[in-house]
Amino acid sequence: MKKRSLSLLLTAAMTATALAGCGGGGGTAQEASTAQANNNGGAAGGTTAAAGSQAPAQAEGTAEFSYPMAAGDKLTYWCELTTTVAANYASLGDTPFSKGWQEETGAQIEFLHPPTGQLKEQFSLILADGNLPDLMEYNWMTDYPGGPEKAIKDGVILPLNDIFEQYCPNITAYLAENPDIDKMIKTDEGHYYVFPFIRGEKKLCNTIGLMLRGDWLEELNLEVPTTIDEWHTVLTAFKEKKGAAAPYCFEYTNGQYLTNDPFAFAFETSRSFYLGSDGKAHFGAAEENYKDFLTTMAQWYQEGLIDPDLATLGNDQVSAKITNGTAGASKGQAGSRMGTWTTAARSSNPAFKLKAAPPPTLEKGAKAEFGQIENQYSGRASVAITTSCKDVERAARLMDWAYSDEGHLYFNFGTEGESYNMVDGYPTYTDLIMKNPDGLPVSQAMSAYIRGNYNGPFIQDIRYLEQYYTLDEQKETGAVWGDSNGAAHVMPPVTPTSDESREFSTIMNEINTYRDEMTLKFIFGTESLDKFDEYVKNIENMGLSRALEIQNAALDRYNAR
Amino acid sequence: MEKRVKKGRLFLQMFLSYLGMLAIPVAAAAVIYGYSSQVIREQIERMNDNLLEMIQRDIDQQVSDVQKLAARLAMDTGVQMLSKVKGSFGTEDRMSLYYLYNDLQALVMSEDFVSDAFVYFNNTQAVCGINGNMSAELFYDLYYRNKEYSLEQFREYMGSPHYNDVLKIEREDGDDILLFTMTTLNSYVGESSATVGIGIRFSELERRLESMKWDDAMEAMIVDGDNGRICSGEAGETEGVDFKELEEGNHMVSGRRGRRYMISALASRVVNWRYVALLPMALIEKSAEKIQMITGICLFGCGILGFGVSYYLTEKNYNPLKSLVDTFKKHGDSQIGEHDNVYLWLNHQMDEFFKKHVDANRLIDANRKSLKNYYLFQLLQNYYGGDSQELEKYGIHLSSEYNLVILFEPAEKEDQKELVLQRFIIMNVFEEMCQDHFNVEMAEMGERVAAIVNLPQPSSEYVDILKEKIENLQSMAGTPFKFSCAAFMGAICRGLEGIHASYLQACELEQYTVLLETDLIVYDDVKNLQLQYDYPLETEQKIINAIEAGDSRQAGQLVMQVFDHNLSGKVSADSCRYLVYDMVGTLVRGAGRGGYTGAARELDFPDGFSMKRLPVPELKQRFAALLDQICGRVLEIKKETDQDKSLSRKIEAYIQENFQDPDLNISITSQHFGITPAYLSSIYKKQTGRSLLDYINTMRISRAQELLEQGCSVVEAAPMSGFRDSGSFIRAFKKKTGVTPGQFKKKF
Repeated sequence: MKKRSLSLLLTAAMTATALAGCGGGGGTAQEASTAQANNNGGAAGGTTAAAGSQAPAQAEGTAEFSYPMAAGDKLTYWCELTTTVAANYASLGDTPFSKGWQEETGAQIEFLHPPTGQLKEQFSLILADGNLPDLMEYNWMTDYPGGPEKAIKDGVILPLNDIFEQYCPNITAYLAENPDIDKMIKTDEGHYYVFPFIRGEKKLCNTIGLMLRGDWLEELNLEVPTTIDEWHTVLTAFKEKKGAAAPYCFEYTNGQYLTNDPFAFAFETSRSFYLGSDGKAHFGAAEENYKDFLTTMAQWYQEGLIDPDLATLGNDQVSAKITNGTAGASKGQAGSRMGTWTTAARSSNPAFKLKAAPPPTLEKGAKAEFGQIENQYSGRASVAITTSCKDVERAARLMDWAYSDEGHLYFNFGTEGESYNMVDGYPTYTDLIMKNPDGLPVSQAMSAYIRGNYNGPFIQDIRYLEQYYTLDEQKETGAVWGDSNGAAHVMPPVTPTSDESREFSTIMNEINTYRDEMTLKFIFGTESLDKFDEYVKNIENMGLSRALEIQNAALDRYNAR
Repeated sequence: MEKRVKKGRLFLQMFLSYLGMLAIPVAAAAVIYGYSSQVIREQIERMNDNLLEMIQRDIDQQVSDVQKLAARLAMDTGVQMLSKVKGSFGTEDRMSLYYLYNDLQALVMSEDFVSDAFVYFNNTQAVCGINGNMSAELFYDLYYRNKEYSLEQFREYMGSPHYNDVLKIEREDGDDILLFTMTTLNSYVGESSATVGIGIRFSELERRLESMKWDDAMEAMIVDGDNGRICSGEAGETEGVDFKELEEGNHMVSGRRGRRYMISALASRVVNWRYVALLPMALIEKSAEKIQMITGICLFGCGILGFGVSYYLTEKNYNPLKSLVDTFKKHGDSQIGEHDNVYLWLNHQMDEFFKKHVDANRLIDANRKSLKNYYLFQLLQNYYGGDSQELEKYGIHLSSEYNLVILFEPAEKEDQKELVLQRFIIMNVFEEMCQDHFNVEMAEMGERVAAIVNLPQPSSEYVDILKEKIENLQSMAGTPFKFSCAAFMGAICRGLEGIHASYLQACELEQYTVLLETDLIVYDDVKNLQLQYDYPLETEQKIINAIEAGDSRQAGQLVMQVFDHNLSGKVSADSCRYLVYDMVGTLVRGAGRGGYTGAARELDFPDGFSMKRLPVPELKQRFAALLDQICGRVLEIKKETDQDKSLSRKIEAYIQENFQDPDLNISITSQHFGITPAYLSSIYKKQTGRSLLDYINTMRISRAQELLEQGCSVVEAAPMSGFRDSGSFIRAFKKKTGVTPGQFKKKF
């Protein structure tokens, strides 16, 4: 009875949210899905609580089981050590987080980390070696050659359907209540293959956006730019009036900033695949809009509005240039970029302020059609159980715990009384996190106790972000950057078949290399934009139509899941 | 106290000699120790050299790779072209820079030894590195900010020409970098246009040095051309070491704080570096100490063990001696003198001991003999029911079925010493003589010697042999030893129990020496002698009458006749004895008849005859003497009592006539004879030996008996036999005869 009434309540809540969402306009189907996603995210605590309460019932049905598990073999766990952890710990295993995690679940974990920046190389080495860790945290969806289905067929990882059913009541319950996510995390053949990193709410998916010096804008009496033209004005002002040698400067060597380029989105294009309004996959870099985008960029570069060293810009330089005033605008995340830079710069320049800029448009006042938004499941930081794992149940139980109510709180907030306290039912980080006695930045303090601030095999809770952002400018970012119809144009996590995948990556490797080089040449002006048609023809000759065919076929299959 | 002092001195002597022995292994151990220390040292030196060679090979390889890399970049056409750009890069150069950036990233990716690679363009004051293209200033700020070199100095350094130069940069973040620099080859002197920098992380170098060390205590370092230390595993300890004097090969250098190091050095083949290995002498000494310790422990162990073993051996060998001495001390009276040699003393004691021992053996032997003698004695004296095996235990060998006992009786009675000797001669000689034929056991039986001869058959042949032997013995005793001995040989008896029987027979034979007057008496010869002696009653009465009459001559004649008749070898000894007793009885009776009633008491017959055997003539003489004595006495008594006797006869006659009168009594009788009753009784008693009343009663009872026999009743018999009434008759009759008259009558 209780269970039944709870689900009724949930259904009612969903309907209510869906109705509320109808007011916003736009495609109804899409709205519905967004609303549902929002519901899932917004009530993340609630849903996982439901899952949690459901879990024991299910456990009773299958077998008597409770955490912590009895002592057993050590599990080996391979994952990238994120920079905020690496700053203080040589291994994730040294953190209070992982110690607590092992204590709660009863599993012993030996953590293995690839050297920083060599994730993919090390991954290839491990696969070639064949001696696999029990658990591997990786982007199995996009970064395993041939895709996840191939990984299963290659005998690298285990299909998890039976394992979910047998040992994983928590994630099974969550997926049952979130069919759109369930759709994302399996292959076209219906195989589950990872314990996924899931952003519990859509808001968490708007991670990258434009930002610029708010204090300069005020000083120059300028508004936050919303169109390409306004941006041109602002950047020119920065260069001329503020002496910025590189007014617009961003981490060009970081692929995600290139793929999620709001200036490209302004031209309703992308350097990569996007979902067109026709519901088909499109390759932006080979379309006319991309030429328009390049034209603007080349012009800006020529005018010195873009950092001349653009092509090789890394975080070090960008950070230095933003904080020392060489640059006035950049893009990146609200936390690791906006927050970090602001904190660093204010030590010498208290007036320093970075303001989030909305996705620019060509027409003033228009709503941006394209925008940066990630899928709730991006494939990143998701854990597969490899075929080398001897104690599959132990591994599965360890992973499933994160999707329980208890595990959800632990992964996002750590240990109650230590890293957070419940204040009116709201998990509030303690001063250990927010004002670390050892002087650690919030991001590093968090990384010691939780994974909620970066990623991992769990469901991310929006409440982490609400507290993580300490600056007003940061808190704005969600609303400012999310103000677009971007979700409609993001490719869902499609999975080509392994044969398709190999063919696709062969084609795309060539195309991407060519595109990247040509893009730079176009921007630098080394290559005239007159040659754009030739460039497009070259790309097509490289087999773009076949790649699109594959993408669309995969998309069709995805939609048919 | 003295004893302890002496013992202490003894142990000291032992200990000193032991130490002397110990000097040999000590010397050997010292030599071994010295040699092994040398070997260890050489070994360590060799290991150091090997280590240095390893370091040289590894680091040189890396360094030469770095140099090659630097040279390749310096000769790269792209780099050379970019180096010529002056002022600032134009957009046309951007792609080249981008390509260079990609190249550098690829290089660094493939060389894990290299942590950084960049090209410094002097003309544009720009840097292209793996972290991107940027101005030299930004580059310096981001990656090479350090205290030693300011931006200006850094620029100056990078701007000047270099060829395989090495610059050590102590970065602010602590991650020190060793920077290899090489200027592009197209530069003019003093106007270098680009410099390639390849960075190697100190930590990486140190890690390699660390990983090759074979002991944590040692240090490996790199020293540059100016003898400055570039890099070492652990800083600090060796700062006082002067590297200038360092030559290839090994020698010792005193380090700071008195710590000494063994230092080895090897020059790099590619740069002007030297690889240095420092090994604390303490480490060598530690190894040496280990040997020293083991040697010491072994020596100590040897010492203890050796001492233990020698102590044990001493205890084992000396202690028995000591216990011997102690034993002698305990049991003997003599004490060992302080300066006595223990062995001499012991020897003396041993001599004495064995002397005593021999004596004791003799004693034991004698004891054994007397014990055996005792058992033989018992065997002879008593009936024995056991078997021969039991006797074997006592050394008595009588295995054959038949036995015969011979008794030897030496003639000597006075001289005990002589007697012992004679017995000894008899025992030994006879035993020796018989041994060839029979088993003989000799035993002393008081003055006599008994020989138990063990015979397989009860054959007379053996007896003959024995007789011969005995005769031999007797003749031997007679001739060389001048003594005589009698031999009594018992009969052959069956079994052990027969020994006693045979012995008794032999004993019995002794009497016959008197009778037969021979030295050898054999039971078989005498056993058939008459058991009856001839002594007719008639003759006895004659002798009694003769004695009564006091006629000693006639009595003597008669007695001699009897003796002569009987004691002539025809009558057995026992019979003879009985005859003697008989004769004595006759004499006593005769004496009694003659009125000499005290004869048996007064004449001491037992002394005269019963105990001792007397030779026949003496016996006769004795009897003759006795007869004389008795007869003499009888005659005396006769004279005294002749008158009185007639009175008693008269009294008896009177009584015989009047006893049927119940009133007859002693008073009436005395009135008849006119003497007092008391005198009458006394005189009657004196003359007849019985009381008068008794006589009267006897007469009456005799009469009554007669009457009763004749058929009279008791009532009838009483008055007829002089009893006043039947009651007193019955009483008197019973008193006299033991039965009542009625009972008496019934018998008939």
